[in-house]
Amino acid sequence: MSKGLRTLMFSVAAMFACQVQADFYVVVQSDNPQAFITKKEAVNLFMGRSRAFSNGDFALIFDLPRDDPKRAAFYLSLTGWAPAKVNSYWSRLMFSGQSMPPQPLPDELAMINIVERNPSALGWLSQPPTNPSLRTILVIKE
Amino acid sequence: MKSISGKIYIKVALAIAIGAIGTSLVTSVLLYINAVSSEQSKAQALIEQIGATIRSTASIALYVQDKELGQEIVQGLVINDLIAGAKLSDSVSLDVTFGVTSGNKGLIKTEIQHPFIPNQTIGELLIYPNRNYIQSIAKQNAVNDALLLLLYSAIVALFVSVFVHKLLTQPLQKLTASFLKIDPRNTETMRTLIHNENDEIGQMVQGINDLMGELKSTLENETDLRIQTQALESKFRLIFEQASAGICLIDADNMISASNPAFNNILPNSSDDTTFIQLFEHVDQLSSLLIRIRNEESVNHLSIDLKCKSLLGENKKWVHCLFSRVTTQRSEVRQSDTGAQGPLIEVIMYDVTERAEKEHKTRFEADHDALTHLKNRRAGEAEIENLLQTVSFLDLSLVVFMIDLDNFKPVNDNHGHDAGDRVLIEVGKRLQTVFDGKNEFCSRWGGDEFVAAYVVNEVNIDEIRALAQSTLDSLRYPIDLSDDVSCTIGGSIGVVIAPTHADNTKDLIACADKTMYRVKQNGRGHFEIFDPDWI
Repeated sequence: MSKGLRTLMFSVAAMFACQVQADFYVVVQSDNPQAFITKKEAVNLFMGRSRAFSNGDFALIFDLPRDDPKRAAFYLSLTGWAPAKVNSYWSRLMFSGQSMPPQPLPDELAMINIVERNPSALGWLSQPPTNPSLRTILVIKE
Repeated sequence: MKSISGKIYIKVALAIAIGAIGTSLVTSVLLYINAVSSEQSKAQALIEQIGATIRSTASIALYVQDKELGQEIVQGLVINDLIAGAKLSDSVSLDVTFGVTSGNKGLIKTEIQHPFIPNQTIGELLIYPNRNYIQSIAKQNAVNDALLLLLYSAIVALFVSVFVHKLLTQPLQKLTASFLKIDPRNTETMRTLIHNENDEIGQMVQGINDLMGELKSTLENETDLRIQTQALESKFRLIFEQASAGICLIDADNMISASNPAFNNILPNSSDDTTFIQLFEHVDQLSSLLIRIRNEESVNHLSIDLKCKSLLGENKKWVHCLFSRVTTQRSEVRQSDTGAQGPLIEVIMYDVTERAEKEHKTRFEADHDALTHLKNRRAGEAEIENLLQTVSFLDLSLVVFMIDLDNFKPVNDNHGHDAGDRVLIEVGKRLQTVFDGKNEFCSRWGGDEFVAAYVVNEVNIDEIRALAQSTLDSLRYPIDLSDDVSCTIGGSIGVVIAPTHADNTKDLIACADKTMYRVKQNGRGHFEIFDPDWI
């Protein structure tokens, strides 16, 4: 009941949002104990500062390819940075060899498949996930 | 050639060089101080810029806690010469340091912003500037500036010295060279100096030429005047030296300051250390005359006959001297120069020995009896007059003997006039021996009459009687007329005493006459003293 209600609420919210603008959905496997994360935590994870969820579990972070226009919009929404800046950011970190950017996946379908199978995985989608084995933990407004 | 430091253009150049070096040194120090601060602020700005360029990377490194990237950043900073050390740290755990990070002076601290959260500080970047390097750069700049200034000063000094040499020293040297050829004593050498340019030197040369022209004409006038003066002076000198009259000048101390040859001929005894007065016998008269002519304004000329002092065996010399006070401006100047008092006196003198002797002889002949050489009657009267004055003045007495010879006529008649003359001469000699003292005299009154007189302090009748008797006795001695003939005469004496009997010559002589006749009437051969009661 409560689960259904919550899903409905999410769906309504998503639909509503979808109608107005393209939102991004940070997702994990539905078995992941992390119910939601803050935007700051999302930035820390996607920008390489943090590699673990707030409960201390290791997080395996996935991204879309560099040339994907949705990725540019995602990072603009997340950090306020242009994709070139994001790339430059990662270039500097990769230069020191200590940090690596999130693993890019070919498309959103591949993202759904990876997150569905891996309980530590964290990814993002431009559409609310319909698959019940995925759970949205943060919606980022564009 | 004088030493090199004596030259103006070198001096000017040296002065400029020294001044420039001094200024350069001071300027260099100021420049150095200025350069240090400006280099520091420049370096600070540069460092801040550098810091700004790596700020985003530093922000990422801090954000991701990437120590390697931080290390990379601080090492990259220290590569820069301006930066001695750098430190990147945050409050969490990251703290990377490289290079020298001691000392806080000039430390530049940059706060690093969070890359995603605006206005949130994520850590700080400390940059330690390389002060030594900055200072060495500042020093280098200052040294360069100073060297440039010195070079500039040297060039300016060189140019100034060259110009001074060209425009001032060289013309002045030429001018001096031609100026040195001029002998101030020789107007022939005074030629116009040449300097063609109309600058200050040209004006000075013009001035010198004008001055020299004036000087030349003045000197030539002076020379002409001097030649004329010399001619005149030699004429005057000729007159002075060839004059037959002796001429000399006497100064205030009566010393002879100048004399001509004729003077020295007349007075050969004069020398430099004898006074004029000492040359003559009338010392008192002469010195009072000199005082008079010096002090009495109205007296300009005085003349006097003077007897010269002479050595033994020399003839007495007489000179007629004309004294004049010399009152010229020059003598006044000379007085003030020498400090002497009173004006100079000019003396012109003639040798009048011959005339003086003739006068002396004439006077003697006028006053004396030619036969007996006793005073004649006229001189005798004058002498009595004289003695009367002395007597009345000094409150003394004068005794007068009127002597008449007895038995003289028979000698004259029997033995002739020559015998009579001889008797008179002998009588004169005998009377002269009796009355030969001071304030005594004996005169031939005429014929066989004689008058003798003498001054006494107090009248003593006994003494008078004794003298009258001894006079009579001396007359009674026989007188030799020839080898084997002699005669004897006698005398009658009338004695009067002044002022007892009379106080003037006339009365005195009259009384004496009266007394003498009384003696004759009373038998001759004795004396009587006047008695007023006879009348």
